[in-house]
Amino acid sequence: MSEPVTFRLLLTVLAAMLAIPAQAGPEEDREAFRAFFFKRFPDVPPDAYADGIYALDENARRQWEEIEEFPPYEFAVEQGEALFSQAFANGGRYADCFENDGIAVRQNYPRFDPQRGEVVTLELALNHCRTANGEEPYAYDSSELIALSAWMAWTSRGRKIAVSVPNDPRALAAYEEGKRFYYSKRGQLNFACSDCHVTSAGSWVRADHLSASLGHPTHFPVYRSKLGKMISLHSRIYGCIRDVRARPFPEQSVEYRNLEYFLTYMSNGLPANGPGARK
Amino acid sequence: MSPQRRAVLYGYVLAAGLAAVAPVRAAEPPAAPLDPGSVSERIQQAEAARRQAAGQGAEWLETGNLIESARREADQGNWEQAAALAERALRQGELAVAQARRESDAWQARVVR
Ligand code: HEC
Repeated sequence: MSEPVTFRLLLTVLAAMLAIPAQAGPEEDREAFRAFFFKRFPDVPPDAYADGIYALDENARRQWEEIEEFPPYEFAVEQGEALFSQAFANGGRYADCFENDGIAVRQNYPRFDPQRGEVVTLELALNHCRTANGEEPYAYDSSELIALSAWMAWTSRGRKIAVSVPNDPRALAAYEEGKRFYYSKRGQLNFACSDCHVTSAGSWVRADHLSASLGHPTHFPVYRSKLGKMISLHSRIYGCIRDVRARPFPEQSVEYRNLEYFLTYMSNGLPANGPGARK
Repeated sequence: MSPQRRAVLYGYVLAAGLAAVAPVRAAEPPAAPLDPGSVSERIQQAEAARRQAAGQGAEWLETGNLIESARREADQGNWEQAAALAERALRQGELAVAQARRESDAWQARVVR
């Protein structure tokens, strides 16, 4: 090879290296995400992030522990168990739609479904199960669907969150979309999720103490005493997006499912501890 | 005052006047007289900007309501209110589109590494 050609080749290789942004994979992302919070809050044990703001706020934690003595989500868990064990009109059961009869599988959701080519959340899987058995799907904010999700969360308590991004370009693309959504500023107030739940985690905004995103999806659905009812993760996200004065997406939109995929992957390894109770 | 000095003074006054007006002009409703045609055209522009932002998942919370209110005022012949609302909606739509354009790269700098 003549010298100028070698030199040109070298330049081309260099240019290509610069042009490809160092695209970190999900596992590198997760390690960096955890490390950020562990460094910021060296006294907080890793598993405590599953408790949201109560990991970072001693006083609030004491109040919360009192609430947890008579859990306000207990009713939803019981209702969910009853609904879950009822057979459909065609004789089918929810248990038939899930691995291990639907017991202790919550920690594996959301999943990338290769047949559908998209992210399937637990709520979506429950509705798919209903329509496959000739039933009408539930509204995503219905007390029935939230109760079913509360029951399934209950059976997974203590399991480690274990969301996987399989080696499928569509799965990786969904994960990347969720990641982009999470870090993008939006709305009239021009905030990204990360502005509040990473950069400002542990600080106060007006009357609110900001939690870390690490551990956000471990405990849904959540009973909110402010609202006097159980809400889904997507409903909570909806609220945060409206608060920055952006137009929210509907629950179970592809945007929120991909976001949940990314967010839950970040919490892999933390204990599932739903349902939860929050202010 | 000599004619030259007077010309220089007028020049200053004019420049200061322009400087004072320029930054706020964009936010004000178009100058009177308001004709219904230009108001409804403005509403259409606002709706187009809103849609463009929505197409990028970047629509702001109130823009749709502003446009709806502008249409209601226009239907009742309240052109001034309609024009002011349409102007605000248009500005929001344009800012949301600009935000989405900025964020198409800017988000990467926030990723925890
Ligand atoms: C302007 C600040 C702000 C932004 C931006 C924001 N949030 Fe929040 N978020 C809050 C506050 C305040 C709370 C309630 C206190 C807490 O738990 O952090 C909260 C609570 C939550 C919770 C419930 C936490 C729990 O333990 O149950 C989740 C989940 C959440 N936010 C997700 C998101 C996501 C996803 C985004 C981006 C789409 C986002 N937030 C953007 C302020 C914000």
